[in-house]
Amino acid sequence: MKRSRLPATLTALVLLFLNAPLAVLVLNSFNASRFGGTWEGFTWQWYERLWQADEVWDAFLLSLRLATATTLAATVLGTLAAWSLHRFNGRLQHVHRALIVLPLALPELLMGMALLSLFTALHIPTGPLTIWAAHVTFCISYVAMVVLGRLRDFDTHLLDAARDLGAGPWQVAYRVLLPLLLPGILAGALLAFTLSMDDFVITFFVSGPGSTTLPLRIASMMKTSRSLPVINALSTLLLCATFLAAALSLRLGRRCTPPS
Amino acid sequence: MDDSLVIDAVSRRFGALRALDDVSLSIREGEIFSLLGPSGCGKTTLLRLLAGFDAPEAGRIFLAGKDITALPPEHRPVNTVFQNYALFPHLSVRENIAFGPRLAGWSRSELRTAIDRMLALVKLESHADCKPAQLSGGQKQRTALARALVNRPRVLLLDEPLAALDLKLRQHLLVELASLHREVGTTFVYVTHDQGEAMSLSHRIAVMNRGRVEQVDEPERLYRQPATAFVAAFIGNTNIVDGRAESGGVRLADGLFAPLPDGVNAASGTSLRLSVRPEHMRLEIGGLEDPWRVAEVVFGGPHTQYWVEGRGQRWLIQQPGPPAFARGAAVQLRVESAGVSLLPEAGS
Repeated sequence: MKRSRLPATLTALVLLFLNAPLAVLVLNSFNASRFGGTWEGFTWQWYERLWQADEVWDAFLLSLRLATATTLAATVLGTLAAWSLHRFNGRLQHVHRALIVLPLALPELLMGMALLSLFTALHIPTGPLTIWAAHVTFCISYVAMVVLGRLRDFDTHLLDAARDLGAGPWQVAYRVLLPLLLPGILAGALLAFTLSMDDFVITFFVSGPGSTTLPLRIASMMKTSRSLPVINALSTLLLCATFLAAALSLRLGRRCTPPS
Repeated sequence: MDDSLVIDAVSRRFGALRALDDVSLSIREGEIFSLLGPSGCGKTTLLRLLAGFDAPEAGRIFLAGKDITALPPEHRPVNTVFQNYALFPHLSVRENIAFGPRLAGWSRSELRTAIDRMLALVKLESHADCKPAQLSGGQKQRTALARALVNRPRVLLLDEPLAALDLKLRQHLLVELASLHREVGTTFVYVTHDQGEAMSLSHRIAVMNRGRVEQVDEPERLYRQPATAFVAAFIGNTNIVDGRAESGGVRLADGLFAPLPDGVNAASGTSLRLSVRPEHMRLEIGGLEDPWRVAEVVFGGPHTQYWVEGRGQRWLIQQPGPPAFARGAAVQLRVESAGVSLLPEAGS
């Protein structure tokens, strides 16, 4: 029987569809043409321009700081939320679960407007602090979901075993629960970092003067075609960083699996 | 021998279910004591109370004279071998065994000596640095034993430790468990639903049913003199029949005569319930005038089991050797007194 070529063709087309925009972007970052429609020769000039664009680096550093702070808070709170959802069966648990899932389902636009109304009502000036609070709010949900998935496979007898061997509640958490949940917690943290780093819609609502994150900066640069190639260069660099991070996490993941 | 572990009138309910109903037991220092019963009989609930994972609603538990009822598991000199072993997957065999001693703050040299001794005891020296995922079922079980025993517990609790293993390995490990016990001398409390395991390993067995203890005895006495119909039926196979006492024995409902064992007497005319073990019944060639017919023949290797029917009674009979009677054969039955025991008539 002759094997159908359809699956292979379909796969190739999907991969092309997914990756062609990235390829165009990377190519254009080296294109001497300002508008990127035609190839006018190789150049590093957009990277040089990017290097000198202080407003981009300021935005990048702000985003980095926010993402780090968000990841720290959301990972701790999200892990605790997952644990309490998994461990306790109260009457209010389904409400708790719904509240945790809600930010995943809610349109970002709505969430951004809601957060802004809240901050205005409480007379909290918008700025880095409000962006951080907003990011933590939705990142908790993602972390909680990822950790909860890991907890479903968790053998609770291990906790009994640890106590049986003399571990108090804190020692159980520190010596058994945390090491075993760590892959899930790290995955959640990575997700939170990425989400915080590139969130636009919610950040747009809750940012103030002097708190322009990288996505906001890029969006404002898009308005002027002069800086379009610089954005391409920036995007290419971010792409490289993402690939590196992904490769690193894959390698880490491989080291954790036991050899059989 | 001292009573090491005393369970005094303990009850535990889950909603309307009485998982443990006024259970009292006393377990001696250094013995292998089994809690035996079908699933849902309360044996695992009792084990969890002994380990400290759960607390009774009523009653108290004493260990070496000290009330431990309210003591949390980490403060009890009791360790558990869990049914699924519950080995820590992120730790090697050695680190699993070291878990308890490290928490107890043993010195480095003390720790190393104790762990090496344990590894030798359970014959896992060559697997000391393996992770649990790399071990076979039997090796996991031995790791769990070493991890519990290294803490030198006063009592070792074993929760169906062989249930997850196949038959051959189970028989092998049963022998190992017995020799391990001879070496360490710790009190073992062994929970199982498998009467074969309990019978071959234990010094004494508590047979449990619906949250109550039906009988506590040595294996042989449990088998020879079951106190209730439940025990008689749960420990091995038996025939439970009703009859009326006459001189020297009992006339059963179907006309068969069962002699009573020496020392057992009943006033003539009283109605009785008996347990008759299948291997203490004899089958002989009968004639057409006899009411008994062989209904089923099951060949079991060293012995053969027959189901025999007649006059509304169904008997299970076990004879040594290969099948000697075919289905439908007319037979005569005889009951030997050694296989007969009296049961309380009410409540079963």
